[in-house]
Amino acid sequence: MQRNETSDVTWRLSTPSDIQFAYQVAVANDPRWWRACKNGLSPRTVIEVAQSFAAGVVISNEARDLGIAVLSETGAAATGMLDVWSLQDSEAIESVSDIIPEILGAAFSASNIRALYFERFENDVDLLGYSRPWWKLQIEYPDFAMIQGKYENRTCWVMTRSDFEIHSSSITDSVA
Amino acid sequence: MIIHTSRAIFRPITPDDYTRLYNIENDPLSTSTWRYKTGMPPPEEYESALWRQTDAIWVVEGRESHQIIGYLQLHDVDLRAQHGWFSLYSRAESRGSGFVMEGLMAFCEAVFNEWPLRWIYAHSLEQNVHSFESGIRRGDAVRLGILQDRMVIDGVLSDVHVIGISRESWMSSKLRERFNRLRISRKSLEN
Repeated sequence: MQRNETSDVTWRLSTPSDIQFAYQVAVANDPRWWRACKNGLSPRTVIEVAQSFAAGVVISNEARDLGIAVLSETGAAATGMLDVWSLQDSEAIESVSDIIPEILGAAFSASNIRALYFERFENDVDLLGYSRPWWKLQIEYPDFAMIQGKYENRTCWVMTRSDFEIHSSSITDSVA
Repeated sequence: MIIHTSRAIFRPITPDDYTRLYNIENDPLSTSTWRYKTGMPPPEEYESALWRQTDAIWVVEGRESHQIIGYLQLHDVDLRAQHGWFSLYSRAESRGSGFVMEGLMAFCEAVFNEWPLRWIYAHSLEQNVHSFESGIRRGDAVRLGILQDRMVIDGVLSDVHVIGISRESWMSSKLRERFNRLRISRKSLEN
């Protein structure tokens, strides 16, 4: 099993036994994790969505699982939709956002994907860490859905493989 | 909802239409830019392919000819967010005639009067987006963005435009007013 580390936070490829954790994350983020929650939170519905993902990783520290990153809608166009979600405490949010750029690197290096898409509501917690400015806005859906009594816009962002390579190499250069 | 105009009938699809739809969709010019990117399904699988993720289908039929000119689909309806997606297909020889765009007006009328949707969206390939440009210029439709190089069509990267039509803008549009004036009332059809 592939495994990697940033300080004491690690990630690993998900297995079918992580479905219950994915459900826990979906419930914690209802309805912001729209792909998982839009049809309601019956465990069967959410688990069916989780089982449809092309690939996923679980992010954890020594004590517990903290969040997940999953890839869906992969196909002939060699693109994929990324979802990143964490439990809602600050330790989980910080740990997940710290390690996401590394997971992006792993996703590009382990696959032939040429672009990743990412969708978010305007008031979602930002879990993309220092990769956030690398994403380019493509679509904005006004008043997409009601969250806590107020309609929120939803945006779709893209990061191409070449964008990732340029930005991540500039980080590496500045560290060197 | 069935809508009659001076030259077209917009009506829900029936199983009797499948063979004719299959024949007009089986068009080599549009196969790669339409929904069956891996090729047309065999006839025995056509019905399930046609209705996949689909909530309603209306056909546009010529009033005189009774030929099916195209069809419009409402799909991926999300009732929690109150929006859905649409797609429209025109037979090759009727493209540019305005029939299917007339069908889109009827579609908006049907969807926004009979479904609790606030927005309908469409993906349009770069090659097809010109059909929406006049609606965008008038403000009846909105280009919500462009997914650059999103698809590979015949080995070439192609942009995908996302077009949105809101209930609010359709219900108050001058285009809707004009369209409904041109509709043929049930009463005059009976006479």
